[in-house]
Amino acid sequence: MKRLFVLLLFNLLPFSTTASTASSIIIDDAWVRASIGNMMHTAGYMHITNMDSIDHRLIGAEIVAPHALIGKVDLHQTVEDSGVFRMQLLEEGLLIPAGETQILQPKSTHLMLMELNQKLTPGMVIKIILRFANQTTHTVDFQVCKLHHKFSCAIQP
Amino acid sequence: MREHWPALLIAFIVAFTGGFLAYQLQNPTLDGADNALSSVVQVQGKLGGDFHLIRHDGVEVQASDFHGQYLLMYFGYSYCPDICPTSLIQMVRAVHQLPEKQQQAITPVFVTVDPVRDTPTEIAAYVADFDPRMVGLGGSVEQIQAMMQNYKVFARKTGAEEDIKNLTYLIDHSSFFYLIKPDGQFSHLFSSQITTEALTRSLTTIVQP
Repeated sequence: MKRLFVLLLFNLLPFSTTASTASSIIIDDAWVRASIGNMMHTAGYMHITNMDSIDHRLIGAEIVAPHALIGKVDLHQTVEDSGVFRMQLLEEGLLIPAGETQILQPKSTHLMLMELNQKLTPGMVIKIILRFANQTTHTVDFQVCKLHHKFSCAIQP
Repeated sequence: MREHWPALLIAFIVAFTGGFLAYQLQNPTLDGADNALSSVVQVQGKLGGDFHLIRHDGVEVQASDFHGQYLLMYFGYSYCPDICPTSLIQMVRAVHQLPEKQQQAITPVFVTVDPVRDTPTEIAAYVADFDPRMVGLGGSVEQIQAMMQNYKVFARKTGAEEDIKNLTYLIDHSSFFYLIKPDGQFSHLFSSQITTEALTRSLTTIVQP
């Protein structure tokens, strides 16, 4: 009975990919591109909205589930200069100004998931903990999407 | 090998910046109806030509092996997590949106700029995930260098010395779509900032099956 209650309670929660510890940050559309070929790394994307009246800064991320999945997560930005693209590590993290949304999307800012110990297949859900400069954390469910999806799991390029 | 990069970069800048930078200034949003036209990069001097590379099935190939079909070519590397997959998906989708006859006239091609890590086996697994018709090309360091020089491709390894040693480096590289005609001659160069729809529109008018 207790278990049923917990399940019901879970169902009552608004549909969201986040289980956050602070309500001022809202994460939407969190997804990771399925592994390609034998590659043991890929990229993750999301929308981060700061509902707070002060700026926040995303400073790190770690994979927490599934338990057997090991890998490193870096915050990267793809920068273009006259047709040459390079990836920059965001060493100072990503600023999310008060009241604004930062969109992590292909050819732009992204989480780089690397040195993974297994391939990510469509349908999997990866839990990633996001660490902010004010010491709050958000645990976000990232859906693994098919390769041919581009801007979210739902929208094709 | 690294000392060649500045020369390649200069060659690249000389070849591309005129047309490309102008196009960027005029088209900040890239979503307009003119995206197809504005994303065609003007090329000065010779681009393309013969090549000797290794196909993803391990077979040695040269440019003439592909005569009779248009090649839609992208230079990248399989360890590239963001720009390469996004561009290759776009390329494949642009082709898939064409009428069947035009689709069949075009072979999508991925050429690695990372011959050390991208062996034929890796390339085979990589291209198969994008499109069963995609051809992957790799080869020796020298073969890839020659190819990159002919196609004015810029690529430079980045990362700490340890990353280079542990083969965990990333590569800064130019990102364009090359269209090669059935006789092997260069046809068009598109910015990878082109929308999929605009690329489809361009291919519709250019490709004659």
